[in-house]
Amino acid sequence: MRKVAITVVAVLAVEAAVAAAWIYSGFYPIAATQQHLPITYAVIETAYNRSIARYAASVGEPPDLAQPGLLPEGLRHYQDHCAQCHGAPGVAPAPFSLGMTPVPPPIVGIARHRTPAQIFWVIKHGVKMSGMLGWELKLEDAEIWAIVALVTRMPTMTPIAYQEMVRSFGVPPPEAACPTVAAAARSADAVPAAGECL
Amino acid sequence: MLLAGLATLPLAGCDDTGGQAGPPMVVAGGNPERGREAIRQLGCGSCHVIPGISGANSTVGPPLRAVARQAYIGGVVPNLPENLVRWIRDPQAVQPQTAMPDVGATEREARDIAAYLYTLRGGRGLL
Amino acid sequence: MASLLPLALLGLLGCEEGAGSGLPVGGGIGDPARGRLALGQYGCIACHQVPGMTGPEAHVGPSLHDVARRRYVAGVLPNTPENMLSWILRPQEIAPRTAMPDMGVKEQHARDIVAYLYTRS
Repeated sequence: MRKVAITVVAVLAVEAAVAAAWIYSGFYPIAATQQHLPITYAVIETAYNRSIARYAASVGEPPDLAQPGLLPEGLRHYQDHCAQCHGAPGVAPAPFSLGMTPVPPPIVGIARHRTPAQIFWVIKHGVKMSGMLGWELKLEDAEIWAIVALVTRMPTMTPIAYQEMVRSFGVPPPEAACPTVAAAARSADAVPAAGECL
Repeated sequence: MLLAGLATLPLAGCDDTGGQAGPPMVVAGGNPERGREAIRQLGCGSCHVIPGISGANSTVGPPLRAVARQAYIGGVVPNLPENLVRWIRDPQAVQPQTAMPDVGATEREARDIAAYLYTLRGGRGLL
Repeated sequence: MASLLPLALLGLLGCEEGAGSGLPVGGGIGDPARGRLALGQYGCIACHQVPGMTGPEAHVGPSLHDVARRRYVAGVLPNTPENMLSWILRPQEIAPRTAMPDMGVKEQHARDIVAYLYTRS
């Protein structure tokens, strides 16, 4: 019995040493231009999904997301803070966000598989090692719920309906919404200033 | 070792929300079983891969493996029950340029087909 | 993996034979290895499932797993490498109402993407 215990401990110690050596050697490919192994991705994605499901359970009941005024406010925040990385229906994210690993998910379909409480929780608290910041100290809860109101509406919008909503609410488009910016990004030397349509 | 152990955990997809999310994907008056039959009758499988329909393995049109989770129909309108029914009945009314033919589905057939397609949720299997 | 290699070779062969094989092929239009990099760096995998690439199980755009065997690009144009190239560069010119955004892909990168898609699927 003691022998078994010693063997187990020894094996674990060797494994830990090999793992530590691997990490310390610097061979782990940290480059964002290199893909995760499918197994690594699956493990992280599972942890991510499970964690959101668990911690979002503590978010209280959402306010009435259909109340008037919430959508324009949410759209304003979304265009200011979110569309640059996540795009919008028919709108590409800003060029700087393309190529992040993990890639910021498109928000158009998020509300098909996440509850309002989960979307609220992710916006408020962010996601480690993903580039997704927590907005807890930057936006009030009510403002985050306004964004949630918009995000839950997105799965029902055509790209044209989204553009019309942006126009009708008088919200300035994010830089990526300028069609000329995407075209300009194609030529390396003509990079427009942030927030400007050429 | 540790990784292998973790990998055997159920690889819960994004669907694992523990709550209600998204627009209701229910087709009013649609019957998935009748839909399966209508799909055979109208020959949808001669252009699409459709799980559960024998012989439906053509790649002319896009595969219909995860219709319930698609964001858009025909690449242009949001995937909502009434949009899908309209698309099946009259694709050109939704996207005039589409190569998808009007196969002459009746309203009831379109509803049944849409109901069947919404049972298809994809999933990538174990890696 | 091993089963994909002969397919990829087939694709390259088919290109030299020219039209008539029925399958559009991508070899020659660009560099598939660079295309794989571009598919990641332009965020294509955020919306599309791409063969041989790790990413979310995305359903915003169609899966690109058998894109070489599809008859149409975006449901509207015959599926040829040239049409796929135009689509990636200027989707709204081909289908004005499409939800696919213009991602600002440089032409060489788009060529590489096409090469990857037609050799890997």
